[in-house]
Amino acid sequence: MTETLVRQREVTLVDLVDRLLGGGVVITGDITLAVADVDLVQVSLRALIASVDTVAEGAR
Amino acid sequence: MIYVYAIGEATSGEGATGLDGRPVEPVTEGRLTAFVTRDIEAPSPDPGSLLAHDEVVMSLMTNAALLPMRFGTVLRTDADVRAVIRDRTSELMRTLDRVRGRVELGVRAVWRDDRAEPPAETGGDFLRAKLRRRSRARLVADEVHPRLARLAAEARCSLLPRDDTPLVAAYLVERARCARFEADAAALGEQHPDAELVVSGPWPPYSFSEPAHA
Repeated sequence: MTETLVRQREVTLVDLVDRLLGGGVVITGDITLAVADVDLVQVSLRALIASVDTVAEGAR
Repeated sequence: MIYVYAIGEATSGEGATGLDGRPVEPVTEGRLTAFVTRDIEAPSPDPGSLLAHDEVVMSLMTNAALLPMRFGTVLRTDADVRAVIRDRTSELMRTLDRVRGRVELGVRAVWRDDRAEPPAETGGDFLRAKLRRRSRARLVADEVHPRLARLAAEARCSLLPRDDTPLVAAYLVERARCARFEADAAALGEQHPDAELVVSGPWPPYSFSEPAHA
């Protein structure tokens, strides 16, 4: 029996950005076309995060 | 382009829906499976797309171990996907072993006293303010991090990553221990006079998917 993860709480943008753009498995090399300038994007997205912003309700 | 959300042990991967409402499909090579959407353009990192990526990974996280990709990983062909899996199988298997049965919980400290400091008038003032902020952050981290790390298989933390954030930490916690962890974090948060704790998760193990740098 599979047991999926359920998140009860809201997702804040700052926590989402930290993980999605700063974490995860990273593939580098010629065969990869990762989104260019992710680090720069991360910096500019952070500049927009003035306070805790809720992106979505967490409950599934 | 092929967009890759996660890599893990082969699961049934029941038709999840991904970016742009497109289907999520498995690409298996040996003992590992990548979960992808084919024929899609590289997405830009807007909040909706970030959330969609995370929701796909969340829906795939069942009892089998899974590692989320960083947002924005696109490859050209299925052969490229298989090559990545093949090249990194042993390392990925080791990482999967470390996260199996565990989830990530995030703890972010924010200052209780949010008053903006008056702008520093001299270089000396600026540096002193910076040092004060850093000392305060270190006190928060010392109170919080070791206690929570004891409840986790692994822990990562970052001191004062931004002026308004004394601590950002991630903890890899056994699923069955999450409720206890969250209760302890809530209790710690109430005790600390200088900062409150914002707990997030459970998350897929984003902060534990790559080896930590020293």
